[in-house]
Amino acid sequence: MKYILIPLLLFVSITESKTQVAKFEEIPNNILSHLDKMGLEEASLLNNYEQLYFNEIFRKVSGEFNFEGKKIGFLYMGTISNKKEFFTMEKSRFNQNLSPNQVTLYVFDANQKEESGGYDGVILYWSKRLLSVKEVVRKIKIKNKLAFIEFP
Amino acid sequence: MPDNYIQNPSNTQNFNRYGYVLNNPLIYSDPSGEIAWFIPLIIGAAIGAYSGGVIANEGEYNPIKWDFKSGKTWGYMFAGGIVGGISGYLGWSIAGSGLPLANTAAIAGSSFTNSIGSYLYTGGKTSITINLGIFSFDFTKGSINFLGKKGNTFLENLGYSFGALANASDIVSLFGGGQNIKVNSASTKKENDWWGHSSITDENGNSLISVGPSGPIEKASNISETLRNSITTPETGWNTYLGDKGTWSIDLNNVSTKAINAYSLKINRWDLLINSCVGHTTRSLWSAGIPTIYAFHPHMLNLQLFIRQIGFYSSPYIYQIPK
Repeated sequence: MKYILIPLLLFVSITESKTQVAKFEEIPNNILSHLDKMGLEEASLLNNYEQLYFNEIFRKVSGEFNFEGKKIGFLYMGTISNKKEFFTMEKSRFNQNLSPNQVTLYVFDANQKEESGGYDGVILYWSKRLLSVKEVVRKIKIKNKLAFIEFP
Repeated sequence: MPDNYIQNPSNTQNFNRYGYVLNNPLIYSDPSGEIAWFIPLIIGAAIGAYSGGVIANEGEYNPIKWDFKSGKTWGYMFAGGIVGGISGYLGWSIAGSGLPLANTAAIAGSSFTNSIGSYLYTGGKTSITINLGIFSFDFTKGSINFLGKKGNTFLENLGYSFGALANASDIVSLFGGGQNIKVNSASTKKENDWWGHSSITDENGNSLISVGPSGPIEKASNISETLRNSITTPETGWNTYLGDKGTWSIDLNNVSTKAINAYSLKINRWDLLINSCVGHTTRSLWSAGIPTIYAFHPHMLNLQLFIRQIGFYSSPYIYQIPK
């Protein structure tokens, strides 16, 4: 029996270690208290409050990546979204005492940044499927093209 | 290629029963049901008109053989349609009213109204009856008919079967928490969400059950990889996608949210291994007295529930079609 249980437990611990837990309670109050100042517009450049917020949200996993002055794209369920939609949902969940949006951060390298149209990274939220970076770059590229068509 | 995505799934152990709703959950509240008012009305009118035609033509079931030159045929069909339509609308109103045993009460109200109307326009040729789901009582003959009774037609048994389903969820709701709920199936048309999502929300749009993985899962290339990816902590506060474009919501009346909540609190990681989101939704519905078949895809669950609702709204009339 132990020959079954040990590998199984080992396996479980490996998969568990991938999971990062984040609750609103883990975010300092001096950042959370400014939630109403976040996501006021769709622009991809983050304001000071948003930078601090994302630095905190991704504190455990983002390494040296700093959101300050960064241009960030948003994908909801794999489809194009924006900062305003993200924070509208985030605020709603906060007000209902829920967990924050489930998010994955993609940090672009120089080539990907250029290909995507200047984005430093993308936040994918509420997607069951983990997209490849290639897919994420492609989607953000499409967003840029659409934006050009709508606002030449 | 370097691993340059950073995953930070949110709270995974928060068994909070309140789910995401858009800015104003109230706008998604539809206490009278996803089945729009005109659907029960049309069902009642159609079956009522058909019954009128059958009665006018001395029990002839085949409309092709009806005497359409006769004013009686048209008159009975018209009257039957009006009576059935009114009965259908009444049933829809009762079902979404929040009354205890609302589904059974809706069937009873519709069937009784329809039978009185039929009795009046046929000059007493039909019986005054009431259907209480799995059985009906004929006031004129003083007899009881029920599911599986010898001599029943297939349609009669079908009607009583849907009635029995209404009784089942009503009985469970007597233990508490009876509400009009929505079962939501998120669209799978979006390019990268190839699973879709199944969830249940209460009458205020709050999540009752919405289970997903604790983080996005990589697309697997074989079964063992799929299994490995599937063993993950369940995220019980997953987004419900209620109100999102492409989300198909089915309203169910008077369902025990207490039973669904009780199920929700028992979910553990191993449940996710053997069940998808729709597996949890299906099982929680069973606990609330709503049996459905697990068919993997959320749309398949909603299709079953849609048929169930259509059946509810048909059951008050089916047994009244003259033999």
